[in-house]
Amino acid sequence: MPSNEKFLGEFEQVVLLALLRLKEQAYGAAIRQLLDEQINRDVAIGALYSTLERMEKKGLVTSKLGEATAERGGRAKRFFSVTAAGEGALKRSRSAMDTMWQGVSVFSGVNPL
Amino acid sequence: MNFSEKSSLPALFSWLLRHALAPSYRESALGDLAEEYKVRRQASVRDAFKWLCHQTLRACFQWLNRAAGSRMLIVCSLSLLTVFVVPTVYLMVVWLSNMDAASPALWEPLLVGDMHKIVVQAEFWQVAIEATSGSQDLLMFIHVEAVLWVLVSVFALVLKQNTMTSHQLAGAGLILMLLPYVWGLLVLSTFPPGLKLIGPMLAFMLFCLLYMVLPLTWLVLQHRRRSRRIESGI
Repeated sequence: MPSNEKFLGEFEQVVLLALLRLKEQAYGAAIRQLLDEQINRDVAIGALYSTLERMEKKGLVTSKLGEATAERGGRAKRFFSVTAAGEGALKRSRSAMDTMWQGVSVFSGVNPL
Repeated sequence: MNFSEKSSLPALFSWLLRHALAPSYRESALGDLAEEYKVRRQASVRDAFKWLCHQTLRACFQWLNRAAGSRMLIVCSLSLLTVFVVPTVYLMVVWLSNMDAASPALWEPLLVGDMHKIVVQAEFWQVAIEATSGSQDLLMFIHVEAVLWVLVSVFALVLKQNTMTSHQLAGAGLILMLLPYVWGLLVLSTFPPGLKLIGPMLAFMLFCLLYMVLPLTWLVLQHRRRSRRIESGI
């Protein structure tokens, strides 16, 4: 792997995975709700969008505007999707984590007796 | 569909969020918040309100963080601090070293360490600038105790910097920089020492400010640079 390829931050990984899970329905509110429901992570909308924006600049995600709706006060949804580069970055990060976890046993704190 | 009501959020929150959210994603984020707020209100109006307050507060903190953390603001703040502290302390030292007599307006605050009250007086700047034509040498600006204080402080900051944000590092550095000054003020105003001891105490108070400002500026900027690299995944 070229040394100039970068690894994703933890939150970036989590957001990319959320986009992959949500597929065509990956927009701000849905991503936020998924993270809250699945990993109990209450993310601020601003933090989510600034991460998505940063990843879009890096070419890891793309976005497109959907239709405006009344319940959104007439504002359009912005749908996000993972690019091939984003998928590659996820695979690299996962591979790196799997490699580092090899041979590591973490005490769970549960007394087996 | 009638889209004339642009926001379905309460007016105050809408206004705050409009100013706190970055322009590039403001409309999408407001739409998401309005959508989720409406859904939450159907379950519980009170919980929805609490949630909206929480989201708004976090957006405002993020805005503050963006504003306060902008490199330009940090550079400007630290530059202003340097530009203000260095010449002020220089003039104060030169004036004190060459002082024969001082007016009561300058002398009385000096006896209790209130040098911050002296620098706001026009008379100080006049006499201090005049004093620069008097004798000066490098030894006037060397104070061993202040050097030791600053070395220990900088060492402590370097040791702890990895556990701090740039703002925390700047805050801790400012506290360490100002602590001798505050300590001197307390001692001089509470237990006025003899005239012979006032001079060394004033010197310690001043030189800790002078010596600390540049290392602190450098540490904070380096920390900021490293943090940016880590955030970008470099």
